[in-house]
Amino acid sequence: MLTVREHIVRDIRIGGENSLRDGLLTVAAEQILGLATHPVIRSLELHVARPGENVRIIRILDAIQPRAKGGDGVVFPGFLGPARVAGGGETHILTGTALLTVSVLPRAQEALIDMAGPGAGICPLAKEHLLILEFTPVEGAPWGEYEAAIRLAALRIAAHVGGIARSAPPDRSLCVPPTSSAIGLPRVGYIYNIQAQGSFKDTFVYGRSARDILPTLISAGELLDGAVVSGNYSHPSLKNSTYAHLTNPIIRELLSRDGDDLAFAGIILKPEPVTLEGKELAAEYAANLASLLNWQGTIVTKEGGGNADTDLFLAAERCERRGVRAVLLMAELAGPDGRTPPLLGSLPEADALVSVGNYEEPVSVPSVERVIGGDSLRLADGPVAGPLTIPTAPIFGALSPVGIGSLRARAQ
Amino acid sequence: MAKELEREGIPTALLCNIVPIALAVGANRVVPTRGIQYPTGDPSLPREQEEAWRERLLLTALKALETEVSGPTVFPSEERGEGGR
Amino acid sequence: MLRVVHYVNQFFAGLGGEEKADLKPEVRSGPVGPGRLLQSLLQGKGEVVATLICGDTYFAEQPEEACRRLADLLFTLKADLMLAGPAFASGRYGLACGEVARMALNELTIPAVAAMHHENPGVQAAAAGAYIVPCGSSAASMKEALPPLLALGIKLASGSALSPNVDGYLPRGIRKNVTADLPAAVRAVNMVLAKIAGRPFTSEIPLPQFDRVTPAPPVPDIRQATVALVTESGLVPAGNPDRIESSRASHFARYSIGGLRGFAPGEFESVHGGYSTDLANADPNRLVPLDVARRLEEAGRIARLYDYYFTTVGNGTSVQKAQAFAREIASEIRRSGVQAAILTAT
Repeated sequence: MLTVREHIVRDIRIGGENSLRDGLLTVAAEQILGLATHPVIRSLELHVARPGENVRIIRILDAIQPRAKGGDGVVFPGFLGPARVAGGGETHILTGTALLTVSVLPRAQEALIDMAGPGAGICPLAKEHLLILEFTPVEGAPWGEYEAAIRLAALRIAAHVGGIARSAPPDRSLCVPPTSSAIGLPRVGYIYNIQAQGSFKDTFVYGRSARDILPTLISAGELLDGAVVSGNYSHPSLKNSTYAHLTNPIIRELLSRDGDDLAFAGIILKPEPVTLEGKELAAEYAANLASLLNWQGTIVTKEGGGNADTDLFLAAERCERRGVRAVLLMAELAGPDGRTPPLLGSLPEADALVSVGNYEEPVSVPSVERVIGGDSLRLADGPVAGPLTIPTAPIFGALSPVGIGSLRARAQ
Repeated sequence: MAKELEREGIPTALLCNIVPIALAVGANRVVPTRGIQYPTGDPSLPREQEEAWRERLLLTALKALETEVSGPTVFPSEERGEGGR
Repeated sequence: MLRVVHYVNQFFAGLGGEEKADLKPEVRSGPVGPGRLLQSLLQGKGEVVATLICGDTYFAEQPEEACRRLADLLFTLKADLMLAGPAFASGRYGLACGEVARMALNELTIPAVAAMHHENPGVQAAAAGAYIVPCGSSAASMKEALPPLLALGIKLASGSALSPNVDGYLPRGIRKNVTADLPAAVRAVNMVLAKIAGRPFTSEIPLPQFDRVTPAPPVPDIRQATVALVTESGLVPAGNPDRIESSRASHFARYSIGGLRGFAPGEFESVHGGYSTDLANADPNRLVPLDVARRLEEAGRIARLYDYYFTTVGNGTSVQKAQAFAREIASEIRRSGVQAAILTAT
């Protein structure tokens, strides 16, 4: 059993002593900077961005919701401590806030957050108080090493900041059991696709790349303790950041309704292989697990662009063949004018779809006073602080595959 | 495009990797490949063997072009599971 | 007070039947024919200030000229809303109504709605963006047909958000992002519980409708055949001389392979934006198998390879564009005696 202590953050200040009092989170800069010492990290600069502020953040790599264990154990096992199965004891989490890692990185697709204006309205993280970790690399450092170093630093900082909440009274507590004890209710599970396709497009489970794993069971508590960490810098709005793995709304909804109108029957973590053969095996294997566990229905989410739609459709096909009813969440590729058929292909079993929005719909954002993260954008012509018209795609988390965003597409 | 060529009376062998989608979309003569990024290749093989695989694929495509089909049909060039990758 | 302009054909304007179908566009002050009923339904919310009339045959034979004249008239009338029809099952009238509604909305930015039977060929204008309200198939249902036409028109003119399901018009094939009323996770759990219980649910994304194409007859003897190589992998001569776009390609190209025994790395490259092209660029024959195809040609397994290969990028390419490319390619290769094609996709 995991007991989660939630602490709501309403503002962040940098400086002074570490504290969390009445929602004001104060973080001492020096301690944070000290956690980022590494031969390939040249510098770390801290910034704060608040909802409604006239600021744009670019070159975003990952987002992390701060947390720390209350007693024994570590969060982000495999990174911050030995890879022991997590999900027990007590974990403090800070809500209303997130850490962002910002840096130049090759092959990372340009990602952007505006804290005010039309871009903010469709970006889930624009409603959070953001502590931004802007890293720069030592010149000549191998990018793979640098990327690993900033990930580790960011996770350390997330745990350090989470630790500030230990002594504060929580706003809410939540018990997360390892399995459901509900009986006589529909057994609903969750097949959780993660993209683990090699460097800079990877996802880590207990510190190891999930690239070649077979689908496997994992519990909500383990995810809350950071067993799954993102190293994926493609598709800013279609990928699962670490924040997404930690706050996954599908899991939250299933937990909250467990015992009411459903029995939360489990989570299957499933990779998205790059070959058709790999995809078919993974879909079969996951569907087989679901069937062995007597699931009556499953929600399936994906990560990434159009290629991952095949993983979703195959999962639906193999589940439905075994009598497990499937509902899929996906973004649409309906073109800039909304006229292109929204899906590239399909299978007949993919008949229950939840939309998280049209990836290509243009958004016009106004100019901003301040930009964090860099002084140029590859995304669009014109100055980085200027007005832009961009597709919804680069807005970080706007089309979150696990439903953190607020968009859907509709026929008009 | 394969469908449209067929509609115009040109038998067309489609070499692609994601076969279920090709079938669902309605391509009639589908030849499975080993990878998305290399439809007529296999970079995991040494050059000679890769060319031999390419030849196998092409011969399958030619056979598909000579075969009467009544709807979306897959023409494999190998047993599933071959390749040990 | 909405300034409403009503579009009707020669028959509903009371000017005559087929013999008057070549009538050029003209305008009458106030409502005419069924427009009078529209006027009474408006109940002070607006006024049918004018009626545009055009003969169905004239429109069918000279659609651009007809639209040009009607556009000029609409513009001069300062219409706030244009309503066309109802055309019921009348095909040419429906085509005209649909096109006029589309033109007014898309080109003049005047809110416009047409009404016709859902099987009227004129409904094709919906796919081009026109708002079309379905109605009965005969003019006997005029009284039932007008209120929905007017209601949608008024709502459209007011700037309210519309959706086919709620407001009862034919799907336009346009999807727009909106803020969802419930979080996706809640909708997903609700949907799966409905699916498990066998209760009805509504999927939020339409599945593509794929038509079946009758397979082309096979080549009787491929050893006697000329075969063309086609690709959507984006393989082009180095430098991309015809500037094929790496996504949403607007055209295709043909390049000569006469005398070429294979694609040399460095001389050809892929410009496809949807996959990592390193492996393909290291050996472009991995995208279009020219080297082996040439050997098979020499060995007599085919009669010959067509002298050109065709290429485009299949990354986010619209279905209509892809179909248009294929039709052009088919027409060229048929004229040149090609009997079959090999198409490589990424």
